[in-house]
Amino acid sequence: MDIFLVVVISLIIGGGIGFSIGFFIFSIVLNRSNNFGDTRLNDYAKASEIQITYKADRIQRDPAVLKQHLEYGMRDLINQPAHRAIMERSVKNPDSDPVSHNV
Amino acid sequence: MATLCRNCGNPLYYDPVSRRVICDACGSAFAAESVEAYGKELEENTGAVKEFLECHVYACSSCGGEIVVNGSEASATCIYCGSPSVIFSRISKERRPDFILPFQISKEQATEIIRARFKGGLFIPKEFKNLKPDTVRGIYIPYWLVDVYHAESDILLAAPSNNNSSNMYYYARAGHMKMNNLPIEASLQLNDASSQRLEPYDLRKLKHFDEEYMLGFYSNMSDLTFGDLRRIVDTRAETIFKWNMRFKIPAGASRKITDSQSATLIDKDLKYALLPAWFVTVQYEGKPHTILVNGENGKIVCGLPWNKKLFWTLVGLVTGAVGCFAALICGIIAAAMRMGTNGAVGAAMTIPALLPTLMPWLLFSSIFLLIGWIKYRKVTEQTKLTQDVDIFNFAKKRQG
Repeated sequence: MDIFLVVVISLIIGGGIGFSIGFFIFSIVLNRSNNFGDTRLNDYAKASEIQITYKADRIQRDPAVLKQHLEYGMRDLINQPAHRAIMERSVKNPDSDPVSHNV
Repeated sequence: MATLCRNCGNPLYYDPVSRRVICDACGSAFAAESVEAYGKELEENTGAVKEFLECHVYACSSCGGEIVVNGSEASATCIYCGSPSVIFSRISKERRPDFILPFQISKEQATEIIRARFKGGLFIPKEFKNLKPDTVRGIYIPYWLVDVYHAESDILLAAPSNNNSSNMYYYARAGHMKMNNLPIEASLQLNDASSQRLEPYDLRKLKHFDEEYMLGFYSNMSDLTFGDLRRIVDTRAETIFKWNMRFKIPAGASRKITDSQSATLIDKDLKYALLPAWFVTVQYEGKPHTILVNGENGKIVCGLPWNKKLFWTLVGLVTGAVGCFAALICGIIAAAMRMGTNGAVGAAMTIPALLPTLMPWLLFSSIFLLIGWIKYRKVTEQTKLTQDVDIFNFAKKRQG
């Protein structure tokens, strides 16, 4: 009886492990077999010539400092000549205007 | 209106294989740019015959039959004589596209690509493996190619990668991103989730717009407003920026953006382009499934229903095999312990004795289950898109 109990419990635990292994393997196979065309965000970097400039610093754990860094970082970005130059060239049409009428 | 062959007067079609405009009747072939769309003056007179709600009715210049198009279509096929027609008046009234990426893949090639890809799929039903499409429609999808400038300032909470303790630190990150020619699909009738999966297109193959490339295909014109464009560009620029910045601070796996500010600007020099896609419709179990194929590079976009019986049988076999193996091993160990110690105590000790060995397996199996569930969900979500009624209707509305 005691060995039978061990066998039943190990069958259940082993079955659970087996299910997760089986589900993992065949879900991957299913994804490869039946799912076509997942776009990877990396593709945009190649297609749209992405250029990124950034800076990152470790900062103090203080709500006032966090807010200051957030706002200072943004202000610094929008005061840059590149931002100003493109702001002058940016679209300013009202939201309701159809884009195709913009000739 | 149809463009007719200057040699025999039959309708001309654009052939993606030879990249020329051809006449099926006499075999003539012309460079698309050189074909004169003669009869444009005639179209001025017969163009908009009447307008009813959102449908516009045009007269086919080939047979005189009425061609019905919806509010944003620019080219169609006459249901009476099959002539490919281009509604020139529509294109000239709205902004004329700047560029067009002509179909590089023919209808037959698109169907063959699908068959070849489906052939090896373990769980793909045989109805898809022996594909017999109900309809295959080549549609030019309108896109705006936009130059985007995105500035973003973030506060992140992250654990440094070289830190062995569980301490989390705050980081300030500020950066800007420039993108050229970000394609924004411009038809509100088409589901963005599907059209984005068709990308990327090789925009180096763009040609200056010429109506002759549209002969034999359907097309839509842009119906986006600037509000729609800003909303879509904002979301995509932010997603792309965050994706590209994800490893730019020296942090381990754990990182979370706690606060963020951003500004996205769109350059006013918007380029309007038509990009090609094949819409292949298949009926399966009474439901229409629309498989999309990128008309430039043959990329397939779809999620197919799967053979559920086979899937769960295989999962069940692994479950049973591992369960039986575990039961056998534990049974042998329990019997051995019973013989070695005093009977029931030895057997009852087996499971607790094996727990340290089992724990990593239980942990791994939880991870396996989670990853499996994510993959499974991806297929079900993609299948929903393929069964999406809006995409089916987008293709179905095209006559022919």
